[in-house]
Amino acid sequence: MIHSKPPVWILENITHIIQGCIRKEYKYQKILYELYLGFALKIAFRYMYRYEKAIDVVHDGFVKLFNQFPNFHPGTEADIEKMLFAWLKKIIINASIDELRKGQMLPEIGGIPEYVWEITDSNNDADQKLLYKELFVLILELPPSYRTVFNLYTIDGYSHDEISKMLNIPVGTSKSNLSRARMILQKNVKKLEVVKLCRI
Amino acid sequence: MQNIENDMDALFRKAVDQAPLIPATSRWEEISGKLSGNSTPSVAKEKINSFKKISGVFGYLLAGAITLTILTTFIKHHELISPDKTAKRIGNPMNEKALISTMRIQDIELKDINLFRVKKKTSVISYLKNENKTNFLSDPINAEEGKLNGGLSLNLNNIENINLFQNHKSIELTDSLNNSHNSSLVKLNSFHNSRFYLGLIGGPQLSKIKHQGLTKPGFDMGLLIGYRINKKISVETGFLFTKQYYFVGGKYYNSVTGVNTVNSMEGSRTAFEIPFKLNYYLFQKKSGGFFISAGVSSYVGVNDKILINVGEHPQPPPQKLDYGVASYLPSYLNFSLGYDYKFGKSTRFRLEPYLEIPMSSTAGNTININEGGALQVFNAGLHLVITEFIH
Repeated sequence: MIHSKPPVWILENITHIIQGCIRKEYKYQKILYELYLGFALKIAFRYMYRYEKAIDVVHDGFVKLFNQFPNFHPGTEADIEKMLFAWLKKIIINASIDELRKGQMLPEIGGIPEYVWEITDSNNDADQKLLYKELFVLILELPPSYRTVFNLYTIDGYSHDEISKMLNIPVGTSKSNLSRARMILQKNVKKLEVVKLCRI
Repeated sequence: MQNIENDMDALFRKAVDQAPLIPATSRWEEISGKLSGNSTPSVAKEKINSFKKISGVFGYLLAGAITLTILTTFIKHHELISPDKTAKRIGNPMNEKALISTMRIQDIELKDINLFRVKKKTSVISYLKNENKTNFLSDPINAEEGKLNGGLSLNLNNIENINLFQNHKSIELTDSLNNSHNSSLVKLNSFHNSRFYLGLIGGPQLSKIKHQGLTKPGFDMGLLIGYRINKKISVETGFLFTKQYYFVGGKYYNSVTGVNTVNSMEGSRTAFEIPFKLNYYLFQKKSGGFFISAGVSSYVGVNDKILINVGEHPQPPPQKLDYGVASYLPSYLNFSLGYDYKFGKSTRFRLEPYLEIPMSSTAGNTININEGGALQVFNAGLHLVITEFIH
């Protein structure tokens, strides 16, 4: 992607941006939004399956973030970005789970459109990206309850106790959902390998 | 095994990190609009929930106020037709249940009245004059069991009837010539003064969404408590456990994208129902009475399980869903009619077909079908009720 001019946030220090957000200044809120939009969307999409819905979740998450920003207490300058990342991630995950609950964790129907992926043929690591994309899709194709536990435990590093509280399910259910998710993924990874060999 | 899992976890972590997802186009205007309005979706939802809660409370208050108004109107009505203040002191002697016997007596002077007490309760005698004006013969009589002699004689010119209001099983009337009139001893029917009644309620129930087909019948069962305001009107509430089954066609599953491979959905629901309704008796006989009723029902602790039939695709396990947030709201309008059979002194058996119509899209009466939106569930069934007046 070619930018005609560098994004504004490149010129700003993250500490200034955060302080601006604490003061609820639109300029800094917009910079922060554009800075972390991709990061937040990737998290939401992992949980939501539908790209459009993930975007909605991200926007709701940002609204929540900006409204709660005055309560954000940044630590040292070295940690400030890490803390913000963790906070935003938590907000997006919670917003995604709320949205999944609203949809009653029902399985999604229909495939994932190709336009959500950025893959160029000329790129040297196109094959690598294609593989990552296919693995990402395998996660998305898990039933929602399995996908949520897999994401929370494996990708986002939550414990089964924490997942149990977040999803309001017994710890045993969390463990069994994870185990089933892994079984399905293992099976599908093998299928993926077979398909790749056939292509070759 | 552990190593394979770890490797796989690491692989997926990397894939998630490196997957070439297109960054979404900035829609800052939408967010800034929400920020300037100083209202977030979650805040809005909380406001809606608060509004629903307040509406629910007001709903119950309104129902209570209507009941109280009806009650007050009836009491006032009775007071208007009883000119004697004694009526107030003894409670409500005009209560029609307390009218045990009407005796037609002409030109007879009462001399003695014999009382045979069953319980230590007050009694009063009234008489009806030609002009249909009710008067009371005496203050409440608190006599012990036995005879009450002498004190209640009067000239009964122009008196056609004597009505007796009391808890006694029998009364003896004697005329001024000391002759017993009409064989003296009049057997009176026993009756109960209680207005509260308790009951067991239950029966089969059918649930329907849109114009979908019916599936197997559910049921409900529970306890009922009622209060008889007068001969014609009673109010009831209760606590019932209910199990419902419903069916939804696949076309309602995803109305947004149009992508749909779902054949159908089968749902089951468990919940607790709290009804509040008013019964009106159209007519009553000795054997029972026919009534109609209307009211509202609230559902609490609603849990839905939905099984999705997706043809060739693997079926996920049914999900347990909880609608706890708005579940206490009045969510249904209730209409029913029925017949009350009397058994013995205070027991009744009732057959009552009913219909529950969803009031609005609250969680208590809807099922959320993914992006198909919230579909309202209609219920109908037959209640079998057995009630007993509390003495």
